[in-house]
Order: sequence, then C-alpha cells, then structure tokens
Amino acid sequence: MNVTRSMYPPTAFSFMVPFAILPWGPAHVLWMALTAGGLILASFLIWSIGADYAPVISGCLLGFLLANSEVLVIKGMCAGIVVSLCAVAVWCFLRERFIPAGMLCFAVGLAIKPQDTGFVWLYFLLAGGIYRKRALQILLATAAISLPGILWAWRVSPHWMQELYSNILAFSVHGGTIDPGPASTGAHGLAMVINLQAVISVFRDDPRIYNPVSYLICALLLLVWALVTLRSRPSPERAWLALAAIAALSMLPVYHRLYDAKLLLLTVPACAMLWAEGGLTGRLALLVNSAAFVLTGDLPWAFVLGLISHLHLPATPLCGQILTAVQVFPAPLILLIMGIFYLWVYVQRSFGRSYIQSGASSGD
Amino acid sequence: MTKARLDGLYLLLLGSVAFILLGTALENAAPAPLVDFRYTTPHDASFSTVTRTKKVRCCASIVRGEESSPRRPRQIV
Repeated sequence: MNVTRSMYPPTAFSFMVPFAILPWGPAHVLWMALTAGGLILASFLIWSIGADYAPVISGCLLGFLLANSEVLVIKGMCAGIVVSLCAVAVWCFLRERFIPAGMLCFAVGLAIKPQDTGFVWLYFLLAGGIYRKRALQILLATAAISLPGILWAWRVSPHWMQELYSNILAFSVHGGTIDPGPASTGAHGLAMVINLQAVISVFRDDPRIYNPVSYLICALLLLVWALVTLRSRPSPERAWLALAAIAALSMLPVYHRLYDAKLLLLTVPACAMLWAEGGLTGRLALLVNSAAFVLTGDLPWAFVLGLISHLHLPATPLCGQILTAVQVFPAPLILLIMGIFYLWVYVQRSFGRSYIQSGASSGD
Repeated sequence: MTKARLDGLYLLLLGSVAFILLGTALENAAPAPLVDFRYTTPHDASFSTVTRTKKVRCCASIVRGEESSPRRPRQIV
C-alpha cells in the first residue's frame, strides 16, 4: 500500500495544493518550469549586483552554480523554488525595487522551507531600520499565506503535529534516510546531507554527541554574526557580507542536503566586491567561493562518486575510513570555512578601522 | 554594456543552457525521484511506486549515487 507522508509543515500547503489539484502532466511541467526558470532568474538578478564589481568572476561563479544544479530538476525538490524566491526577494530589498513582489517571494519561501530562508529573514530583522520593518511585514504575509493550510490540516487531522513529528522520527531513526550518520541509508550519494552532524557522526555516531557538538559550534558562530548585525549600521556592502556568511552557516546546524546549498548564490556579490578591491582578502574570497561551488556542485560529485564506485580497493578499516572521509567531509567543512571567512570579513568591516573612522566623521 | 559585462553575461548564459539541457536530459533518463510528490512509508517493503521497474531502479541509483543493492528502501526527503 502506498501512502503519502509529508515532511513539510502545513504552512507549505497553500503553495503546493494548486499543483496537487492540477493533473500530473501540467503540474509536473509547471513545477519544473518554476524550478529551472526561478533559479535562472535569481542567478541573473544576483549577477547584476556582482557585475557592478567583477562581472566576469560573477558570471563564472553563477554559471558554474547553474550548470551544477541538475539534481534540483531531476528530483523536483522544493529547495530550487525556495532558494530562487529567497534570492529574488533579497535582490528586491537591497536594490529597493519591486518591494511588494520581494515580500511576497520571501513570504512564500519562508512558508515552504523556513530552514532554508529563516536565517536570511533573521538578517533583515536584526539589521534594523527599514529592513526590520520589511522583516515584520514578511512575517505577517507568511502568517496570512500559511493560515489556510494550517486550518485545513487541523480540520482534517487534529493531531497533525504529532503525526508530522512521528514522520520525522520514522525517517531519523539510526540508519534511516535522514539520519546524518555513516549508517544512514539516504544521507550519502549525490543528494548527501551537508549539515555539520554528518562530519561529527563519523567520529561518534551518536545523536547525543553529534547534535550538541554541532549546535555548540554553530551557536557560537551565529551569536557573533547576530551581535555584529545588531550593533553595526546596515549598508549594502555589509548586507552582502552578512548574507554571504549566513548563507553558508545556515546550512550547518540542522538538516540540509547538497541541493539546499544553492543558497550560496547569495555569496557571489560579496566575493565580487572583495575581488574588485584586490589584495589577499579578494584572492581568498575567490578561492573559498570556487572551492565551495565545486564541493557543493552536482557534476563534480557525480564524477567522484562514480569513480569511487568503480575503484577496487582493499577492504581494510583504514581504506573504509578514508573513503568515508572523502565522501562526507568536503561539503560541510567547506561551508564551515566559507561561513567563518565571510564572518571574519564582516566583523572586520563592521568594527574595523574604516568603521571607526566613518563613525568618528559622522559624529557617532 | 562593457566587454567585461558581456563576457560575464555569456558565462551565465552558458551555465543556464547547461543547466536546462543536462537537467532535462537526466530528468527524462531517470523520471523516478519526484519524491516530494509521491512517496511511501519506509516500513513498506514495496516502498516506492517509482522503484518497481528495473530500468527506473537502475537510473535512480545512478542519479542518487547509491550502490546497486540497497540494504533497505531509500527515500530522499
């Protein structure tokens, strides 16, 4: 017997129900068109910002990201639509154009996958001023969009919260499909789990260990990021640095897969900006971005995983450990490095010499 | 538009074309894993409507990067 088990909260239903009402063929085509068209549109908008600083570098990075996003189309994952909506909304807010459309995009993205867009929304909330006003308006819009789905779920299934929780538990059991550990039957391969738990579980496959350690590491970094955002004055330059840091760090504390990392397209304007300034920081930015885009790309992983499956290696424990490390470590660790790098630049630019000088000249 | 901007735009267009062509080709080759729409309980032995045919099971395994004989039914969510 086939049954449907939804892993998404009922807040996503308002967006998904129209697709479910349509016949399979049109719904399929429309979903694919939205996924592909949305990601291409988002990439063009983000490129238009990066192109003000370094057009070729921005085009190269975003072109590579697009050419390595096939899994989104193959699997038809929501992440493609959500990442696109989030990037379009960020473009609208930072360019100050089509604000109502940007708010609608953000609200829909937040309703479908809050774990992908939540930290980006948090930036606007913490940044203050007009950004905070926008964040609160988005929250209201999200509530309005989500309400019909929540009410419907409560009507047809009064215990939907417990049922959703049991669904998640069923998939998270040791060896389950969303268990990040090495025994998982679905956390590896081309759509691998990329949160920090995947790395720590290689050393100790116990959720009582890998969850608190991951939360602690991420909480420290997110606390620094939040404090800097609260205490510094928002500017387009700092906004892109903050968004670059959070796009990478937000992948680490909770369940994310490789296709969620397409949110890294938000790092391109910061990279282009630093590259245009020149110096060591610019070169490091390009190195970190290039490594992150390669190590979260679909085609490089398809090649590496295909190669590994054809290797005739001795069945020794050491060989197994090396193979595990090669497949599990690169994506989460490059996200951690990228998050720390952009956080370091963000702190420097917010409280460094240039900030103190500009603060003194403006009488702060 | 400057030459640098035009070059950047060409690179982005190239990526977009690769994305559409490869994505469409692979999606047609492995039409199975639209798992957000259709999936089943992990405790169900038959598990998925999309893994019942040999061809689709093979394609799905390649796309997912899994070994050919899974220990238990798999599901990406």
